[in-house]
Amino acid sequence: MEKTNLDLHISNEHCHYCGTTTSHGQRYCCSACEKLDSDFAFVKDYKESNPYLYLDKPEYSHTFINENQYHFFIENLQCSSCVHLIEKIPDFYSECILARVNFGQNLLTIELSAKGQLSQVAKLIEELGYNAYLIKKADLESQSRHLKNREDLKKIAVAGAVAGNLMIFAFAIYAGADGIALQFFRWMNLVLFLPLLLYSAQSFYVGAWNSIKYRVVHIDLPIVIALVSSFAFSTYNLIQGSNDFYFDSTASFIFLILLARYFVKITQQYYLSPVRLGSSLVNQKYTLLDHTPVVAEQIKIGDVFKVSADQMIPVDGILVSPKALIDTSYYNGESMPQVFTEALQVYSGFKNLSEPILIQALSTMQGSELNKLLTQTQDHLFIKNNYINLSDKLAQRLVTTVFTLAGLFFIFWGYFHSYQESFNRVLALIVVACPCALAFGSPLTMAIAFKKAQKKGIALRNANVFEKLNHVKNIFFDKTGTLTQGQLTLIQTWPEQINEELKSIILGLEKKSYHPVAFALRAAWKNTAVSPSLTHIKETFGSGVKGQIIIPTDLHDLIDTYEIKSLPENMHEDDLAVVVLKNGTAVARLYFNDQLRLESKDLVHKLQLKNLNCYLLTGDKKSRALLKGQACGIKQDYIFSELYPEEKKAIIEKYHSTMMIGDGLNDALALSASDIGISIKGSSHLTIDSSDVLFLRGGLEPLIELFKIGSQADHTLKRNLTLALIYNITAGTFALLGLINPFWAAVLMPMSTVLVLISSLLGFIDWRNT
Amino acid sequence: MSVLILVIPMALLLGAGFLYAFFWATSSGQFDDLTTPSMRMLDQDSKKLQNNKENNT
Repeated sequence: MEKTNLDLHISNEHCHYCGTTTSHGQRYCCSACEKLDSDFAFVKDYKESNPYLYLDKPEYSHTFINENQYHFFIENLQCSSCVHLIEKIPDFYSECILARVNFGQNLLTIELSAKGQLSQVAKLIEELGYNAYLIKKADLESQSRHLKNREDLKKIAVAGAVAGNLMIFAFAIYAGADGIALQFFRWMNLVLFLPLLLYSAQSFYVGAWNSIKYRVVHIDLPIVIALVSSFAFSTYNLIQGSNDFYFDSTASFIFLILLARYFVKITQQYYLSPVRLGSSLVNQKYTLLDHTPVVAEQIKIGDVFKVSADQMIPVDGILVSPKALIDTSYYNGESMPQVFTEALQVYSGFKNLSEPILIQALSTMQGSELNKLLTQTQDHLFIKNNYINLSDKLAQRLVTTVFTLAGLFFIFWGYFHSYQESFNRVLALIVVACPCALAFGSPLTMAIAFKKAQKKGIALRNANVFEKLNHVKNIFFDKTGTLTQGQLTLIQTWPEQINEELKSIILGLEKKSYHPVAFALRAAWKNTAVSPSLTHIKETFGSGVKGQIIIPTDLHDLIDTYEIKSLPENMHEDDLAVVVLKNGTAVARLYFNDQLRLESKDLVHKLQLKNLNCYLLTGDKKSRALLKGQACGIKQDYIFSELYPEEKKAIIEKYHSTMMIGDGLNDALALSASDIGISIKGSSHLTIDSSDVLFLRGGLEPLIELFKIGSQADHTLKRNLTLALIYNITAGTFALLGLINPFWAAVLMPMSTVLVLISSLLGFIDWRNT
Repeated sequence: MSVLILVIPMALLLGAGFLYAFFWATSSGQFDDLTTPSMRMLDQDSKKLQNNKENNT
């Protein structure tokens, strides 16, 4: 009874177990919640028929083990229940000592006892309902990253403690302490400053040294000069008996800069892609002719192996089975499945839609065309990351200006007046004009932008995206799966109403089919029961399916033969049409279309209003490309069709300031060649790996958000820079006029920092709720 | 003013103590992952851990 009462309080849109918002009124948000709610118990031994047994072979487990621990990337972590369920693995498998999930990074760490078998854990994770990928030792950065982060945190803690305590002592001196107390406070200043100078500021020294070594102006150099010279000056004054110290203001700016850098680093580690995903093909399993299970990597040239329905072909090869229905859209964007016959060549990345087929390998996975494509893609990524961003450039200029000015002033003023006074003023200039707003404001702005983007369902894999975003002029869209939904939808039928009986027979015919038509029909007629009475169902490749219904009567059995056949080239706005025949007579026609996403047209229109050129790049047929492209409002000259991946890339390279949005393998090369590559939700892993941005929410909606956050980031950056400029000019002038003493520096510098902080935070508030 | 001689070293010691505590917490990995532990908190101990505890007491 208690339970039903509870049920009433939880509305339909929330998970029954954990309360997370669910979609489509489902009872649970994920299978973990369902399992945890139902007192599940399963302790099985998967010794028999475990497809992961190959993982136990030493040559395999060796590449994954990392100090007795294995790491998995778990794809579909939803909520805290998933964490609970997965961390119960030691309960189910006693040889597993530890299972720990890092939710933010989708990482699972497994520790096994000496007798433990990795295959058992892998199978168990699958049984629990998760897609897990073993991460190779070489790809795992997080371990060393943690150690580095801890070290950074300690340095920040020391800097913070030093800055805080120094301020107290400095305040006492400004407030007019005297006698022994004054002497004590003065020397405490120096003592407290040492840990900061020798420990916390280490990373700046490295940066400054590199700056000298490679002869590039880097922001660490002026920071170190300001730090060291203010330390020397303050110590000199301390010994001389004067109370002019820069200890406190220097400590606080070092602390703030360290803090800002750490914040940015953490945001990048957390929100930029967590681990490099290997190919999803690596963990796929196939069987050889003699029934030995293999993984994609183990297939050798000449091997004949079986590819089940809905599975990806892992290597280039030759079709051994008589016929196969193959989806090539990942590879070349062609939206309709193709019929392949015996002895035709198939490529890695093709997907089998028909019943299991046999393939003889012509290459290994490493040697496949697909892999060559990927290697090219990765070379591109390397080039792409060498991008100097705006604030670095500005910082360089500011640093050069300040130091030239300081040098000239020192010589002139020193020549005409005194070098002592000249040095005081120059030092005040350097300390006060330290490019705080640049060292602190820009990274902070970027970090806030990342975080906001993540909340809106946009994952960034590259830190420069926002700065590049403002230069984008040409936007290239992929068609299949990007502008369109990438799957067929039933748009029209003849007759307009099809009776339930016929629907159920049609569904019965398509029951076992992986053809897109079958999926479209199942989606359109969700509520219709599948007719069980069909027999002798036979799929004829490329043309359709045939089946019989036997109606027993008194005399002899009546046989109704039903057939679904594709119609020749279409006349409507459809991509595909089929006719349903009953004993040779047409009883219904069905028209299908790969429909545009709801938002596509609107989106293209909005982008065009911003004076951005929208293009369409597709591997699909010209007629379909024109139809879909023009429906979106893309100009006819801007539509390119029947392209191979290399051609897509070549087109993009002809333009400047490009952005490419796609989802398939055939887009990977183009994505890496464009300035900003975006892969949408549901893209293949390989595509994601070659893009800069990944939309975690379905569809193209996040694109508008991305542009909005981009312009907010741009405005905020510019405002910060203006503030910094005004501050630097004013404070710098005052410093050179000799009006700035350490007390004023201690007041002005935090003020400018706070100003930049407020400006950065305000920049990302959506004032108008749109 | 003589009280300062006592108070200031005490304040500094206190500060050093907290700094040490922070160092210890960082070294033991308490700041490595800030999201997952909050999810783990309300979970029942796994049977294995419970058994271990019972055996120890």
